[in-house]
Amino acid sequence: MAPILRVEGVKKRFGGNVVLDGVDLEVEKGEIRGLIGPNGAGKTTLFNLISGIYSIDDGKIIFDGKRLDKMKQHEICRAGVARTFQIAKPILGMTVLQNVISGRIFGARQIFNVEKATREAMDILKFVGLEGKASVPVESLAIGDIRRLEIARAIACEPKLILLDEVLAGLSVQEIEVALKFIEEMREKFGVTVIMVEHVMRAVMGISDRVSVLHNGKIICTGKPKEVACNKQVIESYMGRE
Amino acid sequence: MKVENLEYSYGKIKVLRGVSLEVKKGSITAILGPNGAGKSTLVNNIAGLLTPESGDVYFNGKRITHLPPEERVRMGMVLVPERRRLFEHLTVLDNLKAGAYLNRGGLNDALKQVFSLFPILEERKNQVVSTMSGGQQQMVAVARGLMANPSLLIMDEPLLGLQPTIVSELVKNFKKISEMGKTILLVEQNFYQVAKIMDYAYIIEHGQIVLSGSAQKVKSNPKVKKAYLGI
Repeated sequence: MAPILRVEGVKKRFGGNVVLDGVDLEVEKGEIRGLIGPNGAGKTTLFNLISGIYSIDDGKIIFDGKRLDKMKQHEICRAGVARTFQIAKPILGMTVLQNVISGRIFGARQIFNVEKATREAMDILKFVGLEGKASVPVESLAIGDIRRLEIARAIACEPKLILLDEVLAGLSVQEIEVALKFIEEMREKFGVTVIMVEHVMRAVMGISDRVSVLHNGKIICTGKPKEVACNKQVIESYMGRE
Repeated sequence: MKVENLEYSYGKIKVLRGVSLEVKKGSITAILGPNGAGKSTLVNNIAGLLTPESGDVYFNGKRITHLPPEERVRMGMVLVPERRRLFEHLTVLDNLKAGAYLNRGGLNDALKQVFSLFPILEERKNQVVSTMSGGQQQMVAVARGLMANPSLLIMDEPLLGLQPTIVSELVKNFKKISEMGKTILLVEQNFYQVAKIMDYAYIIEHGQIVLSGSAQKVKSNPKVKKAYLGI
């Protein structure tokens, strides 16, 4: 099967600091892919390049046959790539429902019928378990609900690929269990491909079909979680040299 | 030093979930764990840079949970912070003198001590810190911590981003500092290097201590790898 996302030799520097130094990554359709690596490895930077927040210095990003690296953020979203942010970015001053509606109206399948968009946004809120808080202002949400809303807003854009940036950060062990089940359900229900950046290793190793490790600006290893956990380079990058 | 049931959150994000630990006098105690586990948050609570939501910190039998950092320094607890936080535009000597701010009477003895530990710093005492290598800067940071003549030296990720050769040299120096009679609390990701010198270790994962015990016991426990790599 052809990969849905292909990142080829992508480089990114900030000033003299080379953050990504030729990243190659292929993600299959329908896969849950974990993206891990030490602090400062460039994981969020890679997400920012795929979603068009920064532009790449070199290389190519091909999604579903299209060159993402030539597109603007909203075009990338409409091409079918949605993301969440490590520091959640709900639209403040709006309710939970309004936040999801805006994704529905301006996302991939632009629905300029507010009634229809509202109805569908409510369905998404039901799916993430936030329907009871639809009319709550986003400022008053607890962390678990903020994460659910981040995901609901991404789903509202009808993505084929969803980038989850540390959606488990700050959740309790029980909340993480719920969130993981939910990510699997999301893949089944919407047929979406998932890439997740995550520090909670138990969780990411548990849920991912395959895991890629980013270290010193390059992918040093990709494989099934068990294979990755035995890789010498990976162990060294996490635990030091024996 | 003792920590009981410490909890801490950044805004809505809970980072420490009831951490308890003990640092025995004269020991090298390590807090080890992957990034994002809460290690730096924990030491910043111990050093007084953050105030816990609940739980307590004790030092030499006294409850110091709400004491400001400088009071803790006066009591003999000194932190060598993550990423060094040196006065980069000042010379080595000036940085060291600043470290002795609360130990002015002992300045000369302390200088002699750190120069014998890190001879390169005596050679370079008039060099501006920002022009030195990462490894040398880390030596300045550790030395500055020692200038206050602490009984407990806490080091937060002192090996981060350093070359392997410098790492093993520093680790040997930590052992020497311990032999000078200092208690050491070492917070690190680099498990294998710290494992060479530690007496006791606590493995922290997701804001909780998941494993603790003597170096021997912790080194052979498969839970360590699980905490770092999830499997």
